[in-house]
Amino acid sequence: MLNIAIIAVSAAVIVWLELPRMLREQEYREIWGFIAFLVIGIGISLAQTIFNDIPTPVSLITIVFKPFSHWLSMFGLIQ
Amino acid sequence: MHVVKISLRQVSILTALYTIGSAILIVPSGMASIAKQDAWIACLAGSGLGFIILAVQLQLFRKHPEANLMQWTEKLFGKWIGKTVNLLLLLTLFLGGPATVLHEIGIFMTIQMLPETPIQAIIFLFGALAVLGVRLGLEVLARAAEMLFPWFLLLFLSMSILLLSEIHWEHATPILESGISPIFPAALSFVSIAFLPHIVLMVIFPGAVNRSAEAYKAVYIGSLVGAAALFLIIGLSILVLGPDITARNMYPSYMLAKKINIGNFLQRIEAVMAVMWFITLFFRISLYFYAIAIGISQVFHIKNYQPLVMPLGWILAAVSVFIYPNVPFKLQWDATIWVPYTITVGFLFPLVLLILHGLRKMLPKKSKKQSDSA
Repeated sequence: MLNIAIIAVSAAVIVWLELPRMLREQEYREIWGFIAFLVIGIGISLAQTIFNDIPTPVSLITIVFKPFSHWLSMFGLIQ
Repeated sequence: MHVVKISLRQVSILTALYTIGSAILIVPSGMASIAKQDAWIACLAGSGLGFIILAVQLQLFRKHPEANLMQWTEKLFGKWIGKTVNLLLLLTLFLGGPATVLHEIGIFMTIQMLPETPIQAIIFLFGALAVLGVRLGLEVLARAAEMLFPWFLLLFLSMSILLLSEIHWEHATPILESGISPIFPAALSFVSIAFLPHIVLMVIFPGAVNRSAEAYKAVYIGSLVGAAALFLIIGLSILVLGPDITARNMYPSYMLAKKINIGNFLQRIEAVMAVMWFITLFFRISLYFYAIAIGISQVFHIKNYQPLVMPLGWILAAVSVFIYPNVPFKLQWDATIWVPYTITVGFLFPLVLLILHGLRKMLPKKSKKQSDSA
């Protein structure tokens, strides 16, 4: 519960730091980008607090580059 | 968005700090485990290979000094494919670049200096520092680099000089004990950490240098300084610690700093020397992160990248806590997946762009005729 409160407070602080200036200068694209990435960040943090063990995202890169890696190690370029 | 201009000297210094980056901590161990006492030869071979790769990457820069990598892809692949490629590139770079380096400094601190501190605390503090630097912009980062580079040099050179009395030349013998075959994988692992990620600089520097036509020279000079520093640290690790201890340690350069002992009086100054790694790692993370922030703002046509930095920094800090589940996974991933990934992104990708650019230049009239007839 404390963790979720900390996440909420830090999100509020970031919004308070950034949003007023963007609203004043009417930078609407910036606001959309800001909110989208903030939501992603909050989502990741919440997932981390609720589920203890999240799989690492670099496994996506691993899946794609596994064949290339095998190919390189056939030539002895990776040990 | 106001125009950013940095000088050639600042470009060289940023490139040097970026090259040294995390390599100074992790390269000696990985290379010594593959090439044993010949790691220094592998470092020379790797630097040669690295400059060839750098020449390919900088060719993009020399053709159009004002267009960065994002604009290149959008121009050559068309709008939608270009944007998709850019987003994939930025996403994978985000996971493989700043997030892993941030985790690296967390592991380094928790293993070597602050064993009872949770890794999250270090990651959040260092991440906040990087966010601050990136939000203030490239000019501020460049000036900070100019200010901190002499300190880095002072620490680095004093460490090298203080270690001279500990050198055992017999550690480097026999030279080429098992032939030249282990040199190639060791050189490749060197290049994958020290030179191939320079593709990130092709996002940052184009259009941001005051004399852009000569900026490629500054990048060469910076890389040369960085490679020389890495060569020194690898050579010292081999000569002072010996290949076995270098390979078995996760952070041999920290072990090196512990070895400093002048007359049983000047000793255990590794915590002072660690400032050196904080400087280089900070610039490594910041430049990666800056490139990703301006890359994303270009893909989504956002004029001002600054509001994106704090949310992105949040994602960065949150992701880098669980990016490597454990240390063996990290070592395995760095050795087997990071190498092909950087070859693809840092060498094959700019090569494909250059070939496409050449083809476009060769066939301008034909395509015009076709469109006329159609």
